[in-house]
Amino acid sequence: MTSGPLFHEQTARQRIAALADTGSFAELLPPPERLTSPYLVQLGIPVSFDDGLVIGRAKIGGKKVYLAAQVGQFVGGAVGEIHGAKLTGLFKAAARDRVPCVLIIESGGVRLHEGSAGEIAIAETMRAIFECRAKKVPTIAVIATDIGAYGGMGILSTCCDFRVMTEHGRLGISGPIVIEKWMGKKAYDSSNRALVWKTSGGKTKYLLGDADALVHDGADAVRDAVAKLLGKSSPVSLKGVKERQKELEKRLKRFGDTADPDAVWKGMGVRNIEAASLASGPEFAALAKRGK
Amino acid sequence: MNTAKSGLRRQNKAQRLAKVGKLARGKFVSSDKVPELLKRIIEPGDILCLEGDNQKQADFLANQLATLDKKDLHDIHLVMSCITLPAHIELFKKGMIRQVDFCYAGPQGTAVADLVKAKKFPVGAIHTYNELYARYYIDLTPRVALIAATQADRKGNLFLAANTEDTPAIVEPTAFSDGIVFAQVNEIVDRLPRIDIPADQVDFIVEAPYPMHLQALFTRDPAAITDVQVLMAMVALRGIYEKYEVQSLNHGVGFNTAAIELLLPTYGERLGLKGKICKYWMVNPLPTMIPAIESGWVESVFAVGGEVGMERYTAARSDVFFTGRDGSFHSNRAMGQLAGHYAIDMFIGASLQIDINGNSSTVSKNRITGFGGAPNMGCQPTGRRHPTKAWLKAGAEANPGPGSPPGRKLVVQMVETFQAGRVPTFVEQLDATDPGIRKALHGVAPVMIYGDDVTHIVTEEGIANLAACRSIAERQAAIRAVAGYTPVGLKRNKRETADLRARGIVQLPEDVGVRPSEASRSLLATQDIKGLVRWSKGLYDPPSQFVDW
Repeated sequence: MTSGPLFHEQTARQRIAALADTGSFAELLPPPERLTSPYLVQLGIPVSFDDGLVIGRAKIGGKKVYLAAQVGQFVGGAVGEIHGAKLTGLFKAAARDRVPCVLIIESGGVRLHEGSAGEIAIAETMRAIFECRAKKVPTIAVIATDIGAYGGMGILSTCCDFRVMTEHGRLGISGPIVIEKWMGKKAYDSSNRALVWKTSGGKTKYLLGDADALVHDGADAVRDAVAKLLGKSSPVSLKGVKERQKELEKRLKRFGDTADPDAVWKGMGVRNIEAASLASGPEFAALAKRGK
Repeated sequence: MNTAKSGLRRQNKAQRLAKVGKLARGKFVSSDKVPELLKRIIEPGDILCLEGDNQKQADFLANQLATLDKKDLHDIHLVMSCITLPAHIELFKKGMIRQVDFCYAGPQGTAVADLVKAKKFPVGAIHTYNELYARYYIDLTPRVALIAATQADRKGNLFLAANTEDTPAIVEPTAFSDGIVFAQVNEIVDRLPRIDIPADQVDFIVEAPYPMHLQALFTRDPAAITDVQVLMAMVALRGIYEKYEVQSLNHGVGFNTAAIELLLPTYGERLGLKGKICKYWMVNPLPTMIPAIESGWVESVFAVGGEVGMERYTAARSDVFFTGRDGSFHSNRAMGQLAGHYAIDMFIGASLQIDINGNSSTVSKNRITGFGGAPNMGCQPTGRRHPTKAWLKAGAEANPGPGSPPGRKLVVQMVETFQAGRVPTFVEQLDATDPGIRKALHGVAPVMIYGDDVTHIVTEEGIANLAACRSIAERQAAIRAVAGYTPVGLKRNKRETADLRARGIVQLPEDVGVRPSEASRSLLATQDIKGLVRWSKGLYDPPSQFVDW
């Protein structure tokens, strides 16, 4: 029963190597160029030669893609000026060249040490993502670690056409500790790991339709899911946005006062909560489809 | 003239019970009356045993005792396995304790070190578990014992569920010497699943307002095991388990040994070791053993205590675990320690500090923890007479003299060269030899395992076979050889190391057939707690702090 390496335990570069066709990844602005944050140095904080983001050209299943992975170990994968510029540039290039863009997200959002630059970069990246979508160039976010996609990166991920998640992945805007700080421990206990994952984890996001695929925590499964989505796109239309808005209003009405995440699962048709909790990502996806 | 004492203790006990009067209804006491009852049954000068080890705690009774003051109770000689609760520390701060004899002070280690510095910790000695239980029958027999049980019936029989642990070792010497046994129970029921302590050994029972504290002490999350620990586990498996064909063993509590447990069904299976090693265990029901048990590696497990969440699993695997007629898990710390002392091929565990002579300790100047059972299992039982393959092989290597046993127990220390925060594990001198600590302990440095008892040290650098060393100088060189980049390691002599390696006393990973590049977490049977639940077919119920689903 030996398993391959778990995707959530791999480094950003290992994830890229595992997702891209062998030898196909060509890094843009690689570490030897030493594009580092000018702000962190001033604050006496160590810098990273890739500023926490690996970007480049690659092929997945023979198809050309722009591929990027955030480095969660470096300032929580947070977006600073350089990191943000690389991110914006990549999606702009994707729109220009009409090549799909895949981003492996592992970030708490904007880097507080260079907040304004980070905020602007995220806004510009969103604009570039919508440019891609207007041109029917697929944009795919992969969220597969407990650092997950939060803050600006949480919002950014939902701008992409599709989100591929694993059960370890988490997606949200405010992180659990922030919610607890503002709402109180009674309202949301951030040390209750089961509660945290049941509210922001991959399974719940898949159930609510925020994630388009829920896959096994391994590079092969993630790559297969990404490859399947590469040919598709979901263009943005006013009608589509309005429909989504209505869906969200309905969700808020239905579950807004619910304190128990299990009730949300039940409301979404999960019958055996215990079995569903224990199920792996793909098992859960199968259960959810059958409404069990 | 007849000077033999006769019946005095019995008389004294009757007097104490008479003082209790209507405070109790028969054996049963309501929880609000407990402080008053304690005042009436305990006398100054008593040897008082408070039950509590590193897992279960008579915490309600301890907390009630701590509400009393020096004027209520003083000159108490406290005997207990583990000083674990803030309430225990209170007793010292209030000056109620004349002397304390104990084994371990894990969570209160810092508080104990502070008490020592303030000269408020009148310690007799720090013991190993069985050493202390043994003294309960010799010179430390409790006059009063405050114990913890899961359930009592209306007659006063006690059920101890999975956590029998110290209870029989405390109750027997107390009850059979006209002492008083007072039990807190989680609940009083009409019918017990089984009787672990008979009613006529119990004097008082209180239904505590909250269940006894149980620490999930042996749960190691596979997610926290590192690649380096996997490497060390591979080296240990090949260089020791496989080499000596270790059949019976004890594992410590650390992540290193958890890695070994999780490698058995994968790496161990690949090496063809199933059925050859690791069949008989004296160990608590470690969740990380589930994959090995499910893969058929394990014949039997006897435990000193239970583990939170393993109740359904152990009950369902009654061919492996010892279970009562009611079907549920049974443990016994005294008997488990005895088994670990005499009946196993190998003890393997970790330590915080090891000196150049191989002595180890978990004591630092600011934290006095003491011992648990490790010294008892991590030693050479020279009273052993039965041979096993591993015992004879290790014995032959040690080249015993004409006055020594022919065999040796394998006593293995498995440590990374650095602890967290880049603190070196290997030191020239143990913190335990600090003059202040030694003075408080009447000249005895609290050494966990003596270098003479250690046969092997395993680090990420390799294995040092101390048993095969022929002199103290050679042993020191072997330890330096595996001490990596610690100051102790940097003092090694290249030529000496090469010589020891040529003689097989020092072995690098490649010398035992392990490729470091192969060491990866992906070799583990599972990488997280959820995987353990799945391996257990849903029978393992991990404590909530480990659940993220």
